Amino acid sequence: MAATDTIYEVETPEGIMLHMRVAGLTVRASAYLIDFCIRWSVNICVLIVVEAIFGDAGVGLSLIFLFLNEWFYPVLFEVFKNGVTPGKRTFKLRVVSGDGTPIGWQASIIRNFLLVVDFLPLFYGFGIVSALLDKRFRRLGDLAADTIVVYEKETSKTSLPNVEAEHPGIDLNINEQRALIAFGERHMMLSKSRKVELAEILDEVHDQKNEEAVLKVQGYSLALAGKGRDS
Amino acid sequence: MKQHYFEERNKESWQQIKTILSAKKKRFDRDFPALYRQLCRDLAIARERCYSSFLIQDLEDLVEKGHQHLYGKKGRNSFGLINYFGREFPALIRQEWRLVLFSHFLFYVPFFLMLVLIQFYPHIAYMVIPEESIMQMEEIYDPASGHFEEQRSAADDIQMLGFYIFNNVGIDFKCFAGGILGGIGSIFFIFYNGLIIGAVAGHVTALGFTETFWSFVSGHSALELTAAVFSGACGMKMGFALINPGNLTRLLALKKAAATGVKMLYGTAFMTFTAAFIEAFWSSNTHIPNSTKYIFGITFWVLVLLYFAFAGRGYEPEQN
Repeated sequence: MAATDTIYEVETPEGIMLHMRVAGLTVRASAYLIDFCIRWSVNICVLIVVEAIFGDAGVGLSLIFLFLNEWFYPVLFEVFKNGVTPGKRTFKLRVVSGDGTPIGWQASIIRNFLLVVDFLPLFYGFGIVSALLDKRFRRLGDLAADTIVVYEKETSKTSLPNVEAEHPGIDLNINEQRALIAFGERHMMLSKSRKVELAEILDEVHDQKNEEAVLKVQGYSLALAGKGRDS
Repeated sequence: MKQHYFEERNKESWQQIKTILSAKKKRFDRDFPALYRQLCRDLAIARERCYSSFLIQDLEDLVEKGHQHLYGKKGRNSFGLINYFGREFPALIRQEWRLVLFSHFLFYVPFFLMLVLIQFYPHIAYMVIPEESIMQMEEIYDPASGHFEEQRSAADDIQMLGFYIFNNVGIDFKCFAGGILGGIGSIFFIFYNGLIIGAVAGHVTALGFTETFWSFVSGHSALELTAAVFSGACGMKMGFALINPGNLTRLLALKKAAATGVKMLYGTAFMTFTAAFIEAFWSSNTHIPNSTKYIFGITFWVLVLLYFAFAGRGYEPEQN
C-alpha cells in the first residue's frame, strides 16, 4: 500500500492480511458530536423526570445517572454493540482492537476514560495532535488501549447477469480477464448508458452497438468466470 | 479452475460460516475453526488465482468476521469478581507497592504539613482555599450552627450520595486518566487534594470544631482517602511507563501499563463508591454517638490495612 493510504493491514494467525480503513478526525469528531447530543438530551430528560417524581432525592439519583452516563455511555455501547456507539453507527464507524478483534471492557474503559486527557488543554488539543501525528489516527486513549476506529465494510451483493455465455475468441491476460468479470458482476450497479459506453470499447472484438454490445461483453464475463459450460 | 466452479464447489462451506456468524445467539460451534481455516485457504487461493475482486472482497469480509468471532471472545472466568476482590486487586496493589507508597507520600506530606502548620499560622488556610469555601466549611462544621441537632432527611442523604458518587468517583477516573501525561496529571491531583483536604482539616481544627469535623470524616476516611491515593498510583503506572519503558517500545510499555493501571482502578473506584454510601448515610447521621463513629472509622482503617497486607498472598497477578 502507498504510504499515503489510510488502509491498515493486520495479519491474522492464519497468515491472511485483513484490510481496514482507518477513520480520520472529521468523521470521528462528527460521530462524537452526535453521541454528545444524545447523551445530554437523555441527561436533561432524566434530570427533569426524576426530579419531578422524587424531589430532592431525585437530584441525587439523577447525579448518579449523570455519572454513569458521563463515563460509561461509550463503554457500554462499545462492549455490547461490538464497538459501535449510536454516533459511530451514523457514520458507519467501529472501534476494534489493534489486531482486528472486537474490543472488551478493559480496552474500552481505558480509551474512553482517557478522553478527559485528550480533551486537554483546549477542545481536544492532545487528542487532535496525537491523531494527526499517528498513522492510524489514534488519540491518546487509543494508543494506551491499543484500539483503532475503522470504517465498516460495505457489503456489496454481486451476481453475474443472466445472459448467454460466449468466449471472446481472443487471448486475454489475467488483468483483462478480471476487468471483464468485474464488468459482469457490476451489471446491477452501472447505469445503462455507462454499460453501453464501456461495452462499446470492445467493438473491435464483438462488432456490436448499444444493448447488443453489453450482452456480448456480459457473455464474455460469464465465460471467463467459467459459468457457461455447465448451463 | 474457473472462478465459477471454484465458487460452486465452496459455496456450501461459506454458507455454513455465514449461518454461524449470523446466528442470533453466539454460541461457539465446534466445526467453526476448521471451516474458518478452510475459508482462509480459499481466500488465499482466490487471491493467488486472481479471481475477480468482488469474490475476493466477499471472502475478505467473511474472513474478517470469522477472525473476530474466533479470536474476539476472551475466556470469561465465572468467578471473576470473587477472584478479583479476593486476590487480584490486593495482589496488584502489593505488586505496585512502590507507586502506591509514593502516591501516599504525595498525598500525606502536604496533608499533615497543612494540618500542623495551620495550627500555628492560621492565615495559611486562606492562601490555599478560597474565602467563600472557608466560610462554607465553617458553616457546615460549626457545632453552634444548629443543623447537628436534628437528623437530615432521607431525601437529602440520597442527594448527597449522588453528589459523592458523581464527584469523588469522577475524580478517581480523572486522576487515573491524567497519568498518561507522564504521570504529571496524577501527581498534581494527589498533591493538590492532600493540600486542600489538609488545609480544611487544619482550619476547622484550629477553630475548635474538632468533634463535628473528625467524627464526620472518620467513618469514610479509610476507604475514600486510600482510594484517592490509589487512583494516583493507577495513573502514574501508566505515565511512568512512558518515561521509563524498559526493554519495550514506549507504545507497548504504555499499553501494558494501562492494562495494569485500569485493573487497579476497578477496585479503587469500588472503594470510593462504597465510601460514598458511608459518607451519605453513616457519617451524616447525628443519632450515632461520636465515640461509635471513631471506633467504626478506626476499625475500617485496620481492615483496609489488613486487607491490602494479607488478602491474596501468594497470588501472582496475570501479566499483561
